[in-house]
Amino acid sequence: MIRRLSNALYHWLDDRVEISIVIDFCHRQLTKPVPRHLNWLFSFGTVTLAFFLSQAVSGVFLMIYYEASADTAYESVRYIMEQVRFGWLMRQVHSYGANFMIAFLLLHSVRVFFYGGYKKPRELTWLFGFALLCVTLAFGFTGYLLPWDQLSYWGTTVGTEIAAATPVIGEYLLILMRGGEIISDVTLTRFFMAHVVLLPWVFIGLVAVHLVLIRYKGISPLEGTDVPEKTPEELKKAGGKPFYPQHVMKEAIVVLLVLASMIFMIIYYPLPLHEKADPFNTPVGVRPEWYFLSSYQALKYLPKTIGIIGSGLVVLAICLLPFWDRTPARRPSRRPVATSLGIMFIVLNIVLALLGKISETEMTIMGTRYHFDIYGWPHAIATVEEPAAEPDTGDGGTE
Amino acid sequence: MSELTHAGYRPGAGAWNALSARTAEYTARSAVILLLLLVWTPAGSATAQQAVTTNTCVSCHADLDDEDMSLPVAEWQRSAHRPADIACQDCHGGNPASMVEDEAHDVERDFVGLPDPYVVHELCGECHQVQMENYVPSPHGLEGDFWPNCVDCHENHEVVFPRASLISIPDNCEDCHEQEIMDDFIALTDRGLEPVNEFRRAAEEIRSAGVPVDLILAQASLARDAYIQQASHVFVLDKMTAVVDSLEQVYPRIQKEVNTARTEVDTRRRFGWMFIGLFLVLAGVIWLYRRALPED
Ligand code: HEM
Repeated sequence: MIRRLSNALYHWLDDRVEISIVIDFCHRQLTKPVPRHLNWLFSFGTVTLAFFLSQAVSGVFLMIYYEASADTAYESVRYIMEQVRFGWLMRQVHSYGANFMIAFLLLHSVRVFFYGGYKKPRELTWLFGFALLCVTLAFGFTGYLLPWDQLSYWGTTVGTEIAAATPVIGEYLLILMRGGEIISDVTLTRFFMAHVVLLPWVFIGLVAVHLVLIRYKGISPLEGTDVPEKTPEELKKAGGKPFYPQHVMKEAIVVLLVLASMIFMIIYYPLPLHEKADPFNTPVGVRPEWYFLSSYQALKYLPKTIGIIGSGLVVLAICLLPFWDRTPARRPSRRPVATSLGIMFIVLNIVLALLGKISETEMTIMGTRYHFDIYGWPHAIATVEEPAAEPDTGDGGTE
Repeated sequence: MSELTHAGYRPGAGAWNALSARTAEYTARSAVILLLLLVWTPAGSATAQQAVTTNTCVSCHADLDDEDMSLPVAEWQRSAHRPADIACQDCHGGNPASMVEDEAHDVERDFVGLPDPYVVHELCGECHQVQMENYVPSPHGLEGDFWPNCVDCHENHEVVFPRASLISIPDNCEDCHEQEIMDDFIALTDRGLEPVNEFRRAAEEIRSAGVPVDLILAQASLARDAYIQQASHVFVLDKMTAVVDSLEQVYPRIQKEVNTARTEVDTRRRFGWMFIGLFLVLAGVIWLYRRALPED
């Protein structure tokens, strides 16, 4: 019965808009096999996509109560966390989801890099992926300001200041982002607009192309670009599994495991909401979110203009990677230079991010208290056993 | 608007300028620290001992040979006053900016080597007003001829946060009081303040689990303030008992708030684990199903 109905509907539509073309295309793409060598690392792209969907859902719920104005934004987030039923869950899912999404996005790019997935004929896939990276980071940057707490306010202040150091257009960029000299109500409104209207649509467009390209060209083989790629039939003979349902199921498993670990983090280490933003009171140790930390730290060591131009060039080089790395090999072991450069780049970023994390903090190492300056450089401040004891009874102070 | 500009934007720009000015030095330094980090050695002795303060009382006295004159510096550095920025001159007067002994010890600037025991409570009372107001009419105040005074119990240089154990410092109280009275006194203090400490500890723990605790903390602070205003430094057991008794009427209510918040934390975790379980089972089912699919 249902089958008859849907068949009739299919033909009715086909007579009018020829949906058979689309359906056949989709069917072919869905059953096309994926190569044998796909391991768990190849599911990071899908995990990223799953987080985007989760962000969309939790974001809609947050928007019901969120108010994008400097006077009420903070209070509305607090209200969501403390009063709205399951509001805390939505905020945790959204803010943890943002971090997870970016983490898996970075892992995905790293995976693609090491497996040479960007090489001919997948340059466009890489370019669209790179655009997605920019858009996702922009999501993180704009979303970070929305709770309007001290961290987000001052994190955004330093973040936008970096843009201001761009030669020629820096000052203009800064005003464009902030909507004025300082971060204010105006900034919040435009960040909100970008976060919930502009970026989502751009993302959807880009990701659609990214996915179509991937399906259309298939996942890249391990052989070099000088070997002709296998046709779907050859792939199947060589032990490739159909994309649907086998490969999709494998990815679903990874997504479920990652979601489970996010729930664990949410119930044991929920992300806090800090004090409300105070434009007149700069807290010590202002720093951007972890995914901007390494570049933020690197810029501290370099003269302003050189730093900005230098990091701009690095970003450009990553974006155009498929066009200057035209070597044929794909297997990581067959391209030792690229592989070791990649590892060095990752280590460098981790070290810089760690330096960024400890800078402007204090820590006791083997009985000596150290202050780390903005460069992450330690200064011994005192060799005391323990500073004054904690408040115990409340007799001290007048409060 | 111009004020806003200064507060919001300029500091950052200043920081940027400072950054570029000292670049060369720090490039070298950063290379060193990168190495240090890589071998994971805590960098240490070689780095400059950063001056903690420019107070000349501290810098001179710290190096004096006479221990009576230098020890106070070390004691003060461990005190609760140091982080609060209360330093030598706040009690001893003088000029903490001068390197010249006579100027630093200028009596015109109210320098006094040993503050008069009869005015010590007034010095402390400049900040600790409530405590002074309770102390002066107490048996230790006017009646007791200001014995003991603030520093007899709280120390003069190594002022630490107060605690019940200070009450029983042997030389302090036993000259005049029976041990029994002391025990009662300590028990009473604990009864009045320990619950507040408990509530605060619990609140911190609950807060880190994501459940709001503002109400708990506010109520705990109210209770603590009430104790400080009416019971601390009063030194009359009957008066204190009355205060603590009335506080004990309030504590069960705060405890109830704490329990409710704890239950909320537990509920969240239980539901969380349910979903984790559900997802894992689902993943397992998919895995089994996938394996059972025909090879083709
Ligand atoms: C939100 C962002 C992104 C999503 C949702 C996404 C999604 C995906 C998915 C599902 C795949 C299939 C294979 C796999 O998962 O490993 C894939 C492949 C690919 N992605 Fe992405 N991606 C994103 C961002 C990026 C970025 C940032 C880059 C690189 C800069 C990139 C470059 C590629 C390339 C080149 C492939 C093909 C790899 C191959 O054929 O071996 N993608 N992407």
